[in-house]
Amino acid sequence: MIKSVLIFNNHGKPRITKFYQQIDIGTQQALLQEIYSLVSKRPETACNFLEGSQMLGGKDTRVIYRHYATLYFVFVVDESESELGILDLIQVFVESLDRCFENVCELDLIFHFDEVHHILSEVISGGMVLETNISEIVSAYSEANKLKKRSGAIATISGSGAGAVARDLGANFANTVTSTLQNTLQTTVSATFPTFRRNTGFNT
Amino acid sequence: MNSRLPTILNTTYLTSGLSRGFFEFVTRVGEARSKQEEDRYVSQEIVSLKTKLNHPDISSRKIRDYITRLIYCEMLGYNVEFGHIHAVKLAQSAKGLWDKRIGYLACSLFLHETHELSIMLINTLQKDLKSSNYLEVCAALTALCHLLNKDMIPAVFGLVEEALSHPKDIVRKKAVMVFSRLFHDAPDTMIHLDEKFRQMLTERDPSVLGSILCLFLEFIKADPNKFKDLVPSLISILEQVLDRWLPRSYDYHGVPAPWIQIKIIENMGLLARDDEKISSEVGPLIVHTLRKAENGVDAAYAIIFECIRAISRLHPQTLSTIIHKSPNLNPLNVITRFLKSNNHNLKYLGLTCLSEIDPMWWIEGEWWGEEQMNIIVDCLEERDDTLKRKTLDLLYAMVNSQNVVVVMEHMINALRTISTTDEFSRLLLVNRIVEISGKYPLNLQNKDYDKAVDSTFLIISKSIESKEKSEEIRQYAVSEAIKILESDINNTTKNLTSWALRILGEFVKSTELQEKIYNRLCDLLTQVDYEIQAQVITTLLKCVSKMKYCPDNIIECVAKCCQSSSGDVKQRSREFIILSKDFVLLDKIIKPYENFDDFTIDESLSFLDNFVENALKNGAKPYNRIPITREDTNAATEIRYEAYEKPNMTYFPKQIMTSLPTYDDSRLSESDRDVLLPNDRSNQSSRGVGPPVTPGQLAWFGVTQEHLPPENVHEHTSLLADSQEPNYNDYEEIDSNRQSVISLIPKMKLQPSTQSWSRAGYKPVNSTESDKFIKYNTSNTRSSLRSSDKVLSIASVTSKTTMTPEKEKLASALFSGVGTSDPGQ
Repeated sequence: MIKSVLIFNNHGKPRITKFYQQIDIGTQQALLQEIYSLVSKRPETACNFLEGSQMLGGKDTRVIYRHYATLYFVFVVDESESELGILDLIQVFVESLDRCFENVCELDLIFHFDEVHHILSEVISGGMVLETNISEIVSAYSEANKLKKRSGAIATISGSGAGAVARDLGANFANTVTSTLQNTLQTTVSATFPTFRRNTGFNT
Repeated sequence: MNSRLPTILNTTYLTSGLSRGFFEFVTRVGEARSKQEEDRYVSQEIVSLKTKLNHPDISSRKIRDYITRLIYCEMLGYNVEFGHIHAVKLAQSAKGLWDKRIGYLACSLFLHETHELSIMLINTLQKDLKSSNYLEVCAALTALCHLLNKDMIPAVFGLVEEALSHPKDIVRKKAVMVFSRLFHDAPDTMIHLDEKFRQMLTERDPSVLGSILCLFLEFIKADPNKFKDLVPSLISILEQVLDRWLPRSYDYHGVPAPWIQIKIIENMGLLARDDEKISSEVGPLIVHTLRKAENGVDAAYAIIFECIRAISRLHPQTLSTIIHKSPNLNPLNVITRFLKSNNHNLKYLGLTCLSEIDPMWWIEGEWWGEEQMNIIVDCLEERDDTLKRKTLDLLYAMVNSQNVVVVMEHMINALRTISTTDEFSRLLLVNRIVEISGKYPLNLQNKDYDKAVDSTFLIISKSIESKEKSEEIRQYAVSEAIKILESDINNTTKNLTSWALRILGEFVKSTELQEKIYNRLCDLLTQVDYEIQAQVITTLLKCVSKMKYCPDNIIECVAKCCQSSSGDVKQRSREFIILSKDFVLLDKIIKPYENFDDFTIDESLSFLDNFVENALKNGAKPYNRIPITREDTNAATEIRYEAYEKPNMTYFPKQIMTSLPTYDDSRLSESDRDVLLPNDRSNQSSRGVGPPVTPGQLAWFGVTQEHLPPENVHEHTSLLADSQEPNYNDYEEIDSNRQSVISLIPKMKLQPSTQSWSRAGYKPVNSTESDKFIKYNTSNTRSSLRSSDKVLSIASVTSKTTMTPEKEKLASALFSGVGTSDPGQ
C-alpha cells in the first residue's frame, strides 16, 4: 500500500502532500523534512530507493523518489509494493501531469495544486494503484475540466488552445512591458523538466 | 496600478481560473525570503480568511476560493482547524461540480475516518452516489476511499454495490477501490459479493480489471485457500496480456500493461505458495513472462522482479525443475545481469532479487559463481547507503557456521561506520549481531569471533542512547555474561572473561546479585592469572557497592590475594578490604556509571598550575625542557661526492653463508628492525640453531650490502657474526609479505632515483673503528629506511594488483557453506 505521496522542490518546500494514513499535521511536516534531508543528500547516480528510518515507520517502509529538474516526487510505500513498479508509476504520474498541463513546470503545480490532487486521485485511490494508463488519466481529467469551465470560472480563458495562446501573449507582454516584475519565483521555478520524456531511470 | 498590470495578465494566473487574492497570496508566500516572513504572510492570511468565512452570505464561488487557500496553508503545515467545518459545508452546499470537487478534496485532506465531522458528509455522499452525473458519483467514491468509516458503511454500502454495475468503467473501477478499502475495515460485510467479483474478472475493460486484481490481491493475502480456483482464469488473463490483446494505450514503453502483469504474477505467487499442483501449473507461465520481459526494453524490470519473487514462492519440487537447467535457460541467471549493471537501481534490483530467494537455491543450477560473489563483496564498499544496507541484509540472510566470522566482522564494521543519528538501523544491526552470536556459540575458541564479541559488547554499552532499549540490551548482556562466567573457565578465552566481568560489574542490578554469582567469582579468583584476578576483585567491589553488604566469605577470599606476588592484585585486594568496610567512601569512589561520554584528558596538566606557581613563588627553579637533539642530523647533510668502489663480492658471498648475520643485532634500532623484518618481530626473543637461511633472505641481505662500502660490509658482517649466535629459528616462517618485498628489490635497483639515495647519506670514512661502525650503522638505518619507503610504495602498487585474489578470498569466505544444511543451527 502507498502511505503517502509528497512533492517538494529542491529547497524542501512542499508542493503537494497527500497522506493515505491518518497522521497529524505536525508529524506530516516532520516527515517531509526528514525525507527531504535524506533525499536531497543523495547523488544523482545513487539508486532511487531508501529504506525506512525510525521516523518513517521502520523496516517495512520504503521511500521511492524521482528527481525532475526542480522537483522531487516521493512515494512512501510499505513492503507489499514493488519498488520498481512504483518507480515506473511516478513516471506515469509525471507524464500524465505533463500531458494535462502541456509542458508541466513547478509553477503549474503551485497554482493548480487542486487539479494535481485530482489527477493524483485518478492514479492512486486510498493508497492503492488505480490507473496506470496515461490516456485514461488524461481523459478523466479533461472530462472533469470541461465541466469546471462550464460551471463558471470567470477569469478563465477556456479551451486548451486558447489557454496556450494566452500563455504566449502573457509571456510576450511581460517581456515587452517590463522585466523587473518578472518575479524571482517565475524565473527560478518555471524551468520545465528537461530530462523528462523516456527518462525511466535506467539509462546507463 | 501600473505595476500590477503584468501580474494580472500573468499567464499562470489567466489559465488558473482562480481569484486574484489566491494568486497574490501564493506568490507572496513563494517569494518569502525567510521562514519568519512566510509565517507572517500565512498567519495574516489565515486571520483574514477566518473573518471572511464567518461572513453570513458569501457566494459558493468565494468559499471555494477561500477553501483552496486553506488547503494551501495546511500543506505548508499550519493549523486550519477552524476551516474544516467550512469544507464540509462547501461539499454539502456545492452547486457546480467544481465546487463539489474542491469540497470533497478539502474534506479528504482535512478530515480522517474517525473525525467527528465526517459523519456530516453521509447525506451528501448518498445524494451524489445516486446522481445521474457520473462525475459526481466519481467524486463521491473518491472521497469515500479516504473517509469511509464504520458508521458510514450501512448508509452507503448498497449504493457502492450498485456502482459496481455502473455503465461507466471509471465508476466501476472506483467502486472496486472502495471495496478494497472496506475489506480492511469490515471484511465480513462483503462475503455475499464474492460471486460478483469473480464475474468481474472477465471484465472487458483493462482498468477495471486492474483494480479488481488489486482487490483479489487483498483477498488472497488474507486467505489463499479460498481462491485456489482462480488460477485458470488468472493464467488465461496473463496469456491474453502477453499476446497483446489489450489496447495499445496500456503499453508502457512498449511493454504490454506491466501493472496488470505484475498483479497477476503476484497473485499467482501467493496462490502457488506451498501448493505443488498450482506451482506446476503457473511455473512455466511465470518463466515465460520473465523471458518476454527480459527481451523487452528497459521498462520491464518491475515485471522481472515480480517474476523472481513469485518463482521464489513456488513449491520446491517445481522450483527445482525450473532451476535445474543450463545457465542460459535458468531464470535466475537474469539476476547476474542486474548485479553486473552499473546502474544503481538495477544493482539494487539484483540484490533484492537475491534476498528474496533462499540461499539454498543459489548454488543449484550452475548459475551462481565467483563472479556474483565478488560483485556482492564490492557492494559492501559501495558509497550508496541503500545498497550497503541491502548487502548487509543479504549477509544476514546467508550467515552460517562457516562464514559467521567474516559476516560478523562486516556487520561490526558497518556498525562503526554508520552515522550516529541513524538510531534505527544501528539498533537493527545490534540486534542482528547479538542474535548471530547467540546462534553460533560454537566458534568461541576462535580468536576473530572473540574480537567480534568484544566489540559488540563495547558497542552495546555505548551505542544505544534510548533508555528503555538500552536497559533491555544490558539485561541481556548481563545474563550472557553470567552464562560465560559459569561455564568452564578453561574453555573461555581471556578476552571474553574479562568482558563478562566488566559487563557484570557495570550493569548488574542489586536485585539480581545472588550468592551464586559471588561464589563463582570467588572460585574464579583461585583459577585465573593475575590480570583476570585483578578484574575479578574490581568486579566484586562494584557488586558490593551495589549491594551495600559484603559477605564474610568474600573478604576471606580476597584477603588471600593480599599475599599475591603481583603488585596490582595485592593493591586491589587491600583496597577492597578497606573499602568493603566503609560504604560511604566506597560510594564516593564508585558512582553508578551514568553517562558513557568519553572523558577528555587534560594533556597540559593545567590542574597542576597552582601547585607550580606556588613552587615558583617559593623559589623553585622553572622547569627547563630538555632539548632533544639528534646526533646524526648532520651526518645526512654531508654528501660523499666520489663514487663508491665496486663491491668485490659475488651476489651470494661464500663467507656469509658460513657466518651468517642475524637481524637480531641489539645495536640495530627498533625501527630498523621493523624495516628489515616486517611482521617478524618474534625473532627478538627466540634463540637457537635452526635450518640454514633461505635464499630470499640472503637476497635481501645481499642487496643491502651492495649499497655499502665494502670495508664496512666486512666489518659489519663479522661484527654481527661475533656479537651473537646466529638466529635461524624463524627462517621457516617467511611470510609472503617479506617475499614480495624481496622480489621487488631488483626492480628497485633499476631506478635512477634509488641510485641517488645510495650516493647520499654516507659519511666519508675517516674516524676510528668503533666510531665508524656507529656512523655506518646510523647511515645504514637511514638508507634502509629510505629503501623501505621505496619498497613500500612499490609494494603498495603491487598490493593493488593483488587486491583481486584477496577479494576472491573474502568472497569465498563469505559464501562458504551457503545453501548447505547448517550444523550450526
